[in-house]
Amino acid sequence: MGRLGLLLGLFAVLTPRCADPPKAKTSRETLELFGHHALGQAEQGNRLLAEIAQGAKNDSASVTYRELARFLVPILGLQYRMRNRNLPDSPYQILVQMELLPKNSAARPVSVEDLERILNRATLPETELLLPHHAPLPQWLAPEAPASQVASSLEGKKHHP
Amino acid sequence: MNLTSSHAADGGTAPRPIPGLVQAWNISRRKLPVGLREVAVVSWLLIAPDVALYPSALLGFALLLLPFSSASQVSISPRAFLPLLLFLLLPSGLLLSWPRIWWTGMVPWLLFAAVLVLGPWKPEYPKNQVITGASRPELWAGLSVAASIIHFAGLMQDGFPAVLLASIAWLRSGPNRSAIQFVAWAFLLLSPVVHGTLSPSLVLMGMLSALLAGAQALRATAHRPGRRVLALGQWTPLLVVAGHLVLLGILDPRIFSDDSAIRALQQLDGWWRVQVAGLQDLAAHPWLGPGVYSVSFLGDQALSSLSPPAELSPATLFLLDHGWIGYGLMALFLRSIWPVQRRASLWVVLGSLAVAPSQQTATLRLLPWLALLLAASGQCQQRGGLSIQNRAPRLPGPMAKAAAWTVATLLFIIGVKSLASELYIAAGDDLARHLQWPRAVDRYQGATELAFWPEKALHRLSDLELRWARIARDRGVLRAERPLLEILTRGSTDAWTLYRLAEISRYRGRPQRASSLFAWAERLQPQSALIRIAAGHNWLDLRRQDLAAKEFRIAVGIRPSLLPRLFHALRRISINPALLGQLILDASLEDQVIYAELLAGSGLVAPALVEFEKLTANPSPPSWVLLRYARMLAGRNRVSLALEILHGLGQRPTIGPREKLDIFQELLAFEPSPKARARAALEIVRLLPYRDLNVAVLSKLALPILISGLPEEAHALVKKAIHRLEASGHLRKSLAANRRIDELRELARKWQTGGPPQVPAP
Repeated sequence: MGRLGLLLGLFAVLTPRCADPPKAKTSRETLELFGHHALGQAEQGNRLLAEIAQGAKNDSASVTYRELARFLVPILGLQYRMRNRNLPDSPYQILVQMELLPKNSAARPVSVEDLERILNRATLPETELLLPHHAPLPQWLAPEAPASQVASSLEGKKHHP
Repeated sequence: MNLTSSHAADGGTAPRPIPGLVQAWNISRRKLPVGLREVAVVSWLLIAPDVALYPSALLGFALLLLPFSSASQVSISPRAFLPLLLFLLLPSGLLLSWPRIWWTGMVPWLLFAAVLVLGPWKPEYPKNQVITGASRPELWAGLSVAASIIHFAGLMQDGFPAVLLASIAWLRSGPNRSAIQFVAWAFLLLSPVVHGTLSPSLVLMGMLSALLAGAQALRATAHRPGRRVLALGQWTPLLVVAGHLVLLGILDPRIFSDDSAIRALQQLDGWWRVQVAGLQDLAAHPWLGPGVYSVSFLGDQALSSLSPPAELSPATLFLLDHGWIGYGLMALFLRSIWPVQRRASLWVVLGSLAVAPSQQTATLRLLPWLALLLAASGQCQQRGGLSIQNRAPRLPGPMAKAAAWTVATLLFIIGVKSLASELYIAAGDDLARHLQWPRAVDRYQGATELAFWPEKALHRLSDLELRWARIARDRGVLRAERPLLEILTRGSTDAWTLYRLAEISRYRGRPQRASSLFAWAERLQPQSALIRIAAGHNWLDLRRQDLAAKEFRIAVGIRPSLLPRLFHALRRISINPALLGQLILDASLEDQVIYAELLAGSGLVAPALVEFEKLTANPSPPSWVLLRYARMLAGRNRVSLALEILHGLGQRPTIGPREKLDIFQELLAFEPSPKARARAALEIVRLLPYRDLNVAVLSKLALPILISGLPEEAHALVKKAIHRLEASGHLRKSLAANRRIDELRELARKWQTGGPPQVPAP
């Protein structure tokens, strides 16, 4: 009885911690939640979040690639690459050059899946983004990538967990 | 301990002949001189490269041997084995859990200390024993415990006085030593692990003091009650230290010089790597800090003088790389001091051999201890019960059960914790993927606490913390670094860990340290383009453009498609063609052409011309090189030069139709004269494959000619295309070809009748 209780207790402890996380419905909501959780009390993050919230009043429920770029470029500290700071698409162009965002899609809405993938990938070290193949994302964040491709950023190296 | 007579005492029969290896072992055991046992164990302790990682496990091992070594004459209560088993098991728990949750690792130790103090650990010596010479052992015991606790608490950095006091207390107390002394030793041997100031000599000295003095005292007491034979025990500390130094000195005299010592430390496994890596930031840790800080200067020196391992003497390298010799010696020692049966010795040998090829993994290091337990279990099942009358030692029945339960429990715990850890990791992955990073971090931390081998969870935790630190400046990248340092402390070093540590160092603005870590990672994984690129960028941060170019060149060699990106990385900071040219020192002809085009594309036209001239200097350069040269010239307003090259190329008799087609297409694009363009277009029509001869292509070719006022030439193009299609017999049979011919005729008819050309949509 005691062992059964122990097992049940273990199960009870583990189950809620391993349960599926709640998913956000729209990309704008996802971005806001991410900003609140990840950026915390950072001043810059709050300002950007306010801009996103402002966008939510005017726009649809989805974030566009242009908005996402305006959020990401200062967060990643890439403003120094903006030669034409006044152009609205400058942040977007930077991320397109880094192959983080697709070309010719500045006004397109971002899906939740794409937003999660882009944010996870964009925050990797820049060196890993330089590789020509698109698999610098660690294996545990790129389930769609084949295992051999993910094995991974260290090509030929088995180790990566 | 006469084992032959013990066999005779069992049943009055001679020992059965044992074939093979076990027989050889028995023969060697019979002829083994007495002193060789000590030599064997000392050699093992000195040689095994990872011995420093396992002082607590060795302590358990030593204490396990105590009753066995003296059991031939002494009756020991079966209950006394329980704390021993506990002692054997708990170091594993401590090692596997440390240092993530060091307090959790400490709890079993404290429990064990309580068991020692309150439990049945008191050997029952013969009743007629006369205890002499133990002058005030309580005083020494109290002093040693106090010193060890002071040392453990970090109030006294140097552990030598405490060890000395404990040794004196141990030796002076004679066979009546109390359990509290075990506590003192436990604290002493644990404190280097906790504080990070590991002194292998000190640890070994303490362990051997415990082992040899205890064995000598018990054995002497058993044979000659009342006599103190503690000479060897008294000299053990000095012997160990001297032996350590002498052995190292013999192996490699340069070990005593500073540089050589640093290099030697680099070769050592496990613990030293933290120190060699110079990771001073660990010094900020509240309880690891003081120890690591004291040796951090060593790490920086080591990092600045990274050298290939071949600088050590071959003997040292051999011994460092072949720790299984140490395990073999352990088996020899066990066989000599522990009169186990054949099956048991086989277990020990197998366990030792099993651990040999995979010394680098902490996983299999448990195997010898598992083998010991199994051996004990098998021994107990064979014999069962310890008896004073039998000269051969027999293990008690309860121990067999305890050993079996211990193994089963250990395996069960490992399985359950591993499963739970995997569940946590999977949950963390899912959360990280959905951008719920705080919860993901929580899961990964849970996984590291649960896992016996937490490298996987630590890598994930570090990766997530690094990404988080990149966007949240107030979070700090140290959170990402600490899991990687922990992986290093566990003795498993891989290129990815070092690369990520280096990236974190770069991120923190410490490129010097990053360069050393990159060098280390490159040694482990020389064919990784990623590490080469990162190292090159780090050299750029250090303004060492030559070294950056060297790294980039290697990366281009590994992955040629990286050339444009790496060229631009160098080009941003330099216009020196000599520096940029280092990228292609070992490159293929195609990469050299790409390099020349990159030069031209980035505004360095003159160096690009020089490069192309070099490539085309030989008597018959490849036509595709000339073609791209001409293309580059034409794109830089040097059309006449381009045309000259193209016309010369078109006259080559050996050129193939495909290349000719390319040439005429280039001519058509760059030729200023309409007539010459018309001629080029006609050539193109002549060379084009049948399947490409359609209305759209013909229109594209002929329209500029029509617009230039040459309708006859345009009409000739269409006629030529029709003629070619009609001439190809196999095409004429097909319906599609007939349709194309009809369309082209219609086009020709329209153009012939004049009027503006109606171009069909392609």
